[in-house]
Amino acid sequence: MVDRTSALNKIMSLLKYIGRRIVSAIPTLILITFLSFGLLYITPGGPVEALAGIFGTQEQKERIRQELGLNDPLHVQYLRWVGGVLSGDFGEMIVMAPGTPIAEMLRKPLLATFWLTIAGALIALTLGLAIGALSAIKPNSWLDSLSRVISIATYSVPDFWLAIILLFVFGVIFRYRWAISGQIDFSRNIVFSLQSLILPAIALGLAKAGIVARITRGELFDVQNKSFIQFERIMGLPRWVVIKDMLHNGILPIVTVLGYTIGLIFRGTFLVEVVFGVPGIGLFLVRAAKTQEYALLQTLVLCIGSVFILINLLTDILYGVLDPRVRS
Amino acid sequence: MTALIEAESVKRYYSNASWLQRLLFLGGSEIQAVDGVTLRIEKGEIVGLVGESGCGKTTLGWLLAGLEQPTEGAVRFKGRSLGNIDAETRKKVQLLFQYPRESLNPRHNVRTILSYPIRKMGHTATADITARIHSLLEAVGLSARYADRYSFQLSGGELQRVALARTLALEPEFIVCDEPTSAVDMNVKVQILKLLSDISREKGISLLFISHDLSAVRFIADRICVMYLGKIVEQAPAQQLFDHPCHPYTMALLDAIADIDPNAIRKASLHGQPPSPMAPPAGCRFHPRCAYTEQVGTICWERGPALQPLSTDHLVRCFLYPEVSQDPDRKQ
Ligand SMILES: Nc1ncnc2c1ncn2[C@@H]1O[C@H](COP(=O)(O)OP(=O)(O)O)[C@@H](O)[C@H]1O
Ligand SMILES: [Mg+2]
Repeated sequence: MVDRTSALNKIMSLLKYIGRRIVSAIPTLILITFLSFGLLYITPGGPVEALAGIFGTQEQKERIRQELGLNDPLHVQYLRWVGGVLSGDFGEMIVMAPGTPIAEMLRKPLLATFWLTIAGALIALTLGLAIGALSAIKPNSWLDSLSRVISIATYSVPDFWLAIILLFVFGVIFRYRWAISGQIDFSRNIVFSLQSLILPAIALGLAKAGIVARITRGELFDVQNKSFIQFERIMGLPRWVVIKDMLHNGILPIVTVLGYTIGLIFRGTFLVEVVFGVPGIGLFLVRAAKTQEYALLQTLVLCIGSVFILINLLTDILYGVLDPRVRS
Repeated sequence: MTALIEAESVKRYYSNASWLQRLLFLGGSEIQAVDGVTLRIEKGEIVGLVGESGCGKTTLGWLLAGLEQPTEGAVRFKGRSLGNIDAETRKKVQLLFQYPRESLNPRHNVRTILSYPIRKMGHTATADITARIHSLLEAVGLSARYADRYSFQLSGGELQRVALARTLALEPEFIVCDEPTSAVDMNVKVQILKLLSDISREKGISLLFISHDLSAVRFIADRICVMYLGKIVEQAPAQQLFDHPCHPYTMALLDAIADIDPNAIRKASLHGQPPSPMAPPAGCRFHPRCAYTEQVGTICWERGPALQPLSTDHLVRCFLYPEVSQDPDRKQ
């Protein structure tokens, strides 16, 4: 059957493409391990001073060096660290909670930030797509003008500023407890966590919805005037097929901004978490830097870098799935 | 007898007023893309439509294909208005788009592209579809290997062939071909013209062949309409038009292609760009560029001339021919 072999070819070329993308992400990942490992040597004082205090004696410092293996050659230390990371051992806390494994320490903040990013991205995506599609359907109408104004307004204000305003209105004026609790922990209280998620997610999502809306509008507007869509119309194809093909063609640039937007939202969480007091990565990062918790810092830098690589990788893969030109 | 497809004084005006202007009754300006065209096309006939870019050829083509609704006037297919025709008959009127690369979905391979209209015609068995795809590709001179290609892997001529195959799958009776040879080189152009005229003769399909390329139109068309700023200025059988062009604009167009020696003094050459359709000249729309205005007199910018028959099948819109005359000779 010719159809089946052609479908098989399609899947094979897609798999090859995904393989190539993953392989090409590896050098960046290695670079990031260098960077996060190197942090240890860039930070003034480093772990030794953090542990012994600035006034620690020479012998104390030497003992700590021995214990932490800091006297070994650099590459040995690096390989030991990478080996640990690969087996899920990121080291231990020294100052804030001595002896606690970093992985355990980071689980909850990572989850909180993860949910915050997802919720913010969902809001940016749904609002952006809806506003963009509405204005594409009736270009140059009052709806289009209104949505342009809203879009420009939303991407002109920074997310942390929106966060402060929201916090002020709901927390200070209306005095909603959930608005200021910052408790996002789905293992404990789902409803309350969802409530606490709302305001920070709106601050994050709203600030980025404008970009998504503008791109969506432009793409859908272009594609609905393309001849192949016109042809499907005069052929009398069902409406949903036409819409499906329109989205399939207009979605690539939207996917690009989406990847970029999720990156921005992830970055935005750091500040918004500080505003709302959400115990996520952002707050943690600040504390880790203050207390010179070096293994924690290393791990955080590694995590944040990896998240960006992952977002890029997923964007690339989605590209390959959607566009035959990219995967061949 | 009713023609296969006919346009009766169709107009298509575009308004470029924004919602704010409309709200304040400011109106904005209007583009008279097609301004009162009457045209009949018989079964199996190939009609050429020529004119400079921007004169409204595509808009007229879209009106005839039912992709645009006329501001005024009506388009009828077999005597029935295209506006309220049933979906089955609607498919008989098709269009080959101006830019073939844009007219094929870049995310689909040729097989998928062709399977859409085939399914639409009610064939759903996989084997049946595959067989039909192959016979369609063969009909437009492509081998079955092309079924698995994507549009970015095809040349301009191949794209046009696939677009034609897709249209033929719907078994149309009338196809508007919008500049099908504008994006290809000379050899491919001839091949595509041959293909189109063969298919038209073989299946009795009528064509409206749009082009700004007179030599292509001469090759393929039985009858030619010359369009200028939204109006048809001359209409005649192909041979007649080339032998006895009557409208100064047609003469100028022919002069431009006949003129091989660039140093020769042109009798009626065209200068400059056509005026904007947003503000068409008063009177005869061609008068600012016309070589005969001085000779004819002030009437050229006072009134618009009507399209008049010079003989039964030769129509012209020009004051050089003041009366409804049966004399096809050009006035000197
Ligand atoms: N959808 C539209 N909206 C506004 N103006 C249009 C539209 N389509 C065509 N026009 C205008 O109508 C005129 C005729 O265009 P067109 O039919 O594409 O000419 P041609 O095919 O002969 O180059 C042009 O001035 C063009 O700008
Ligand atoms: Mg055109």
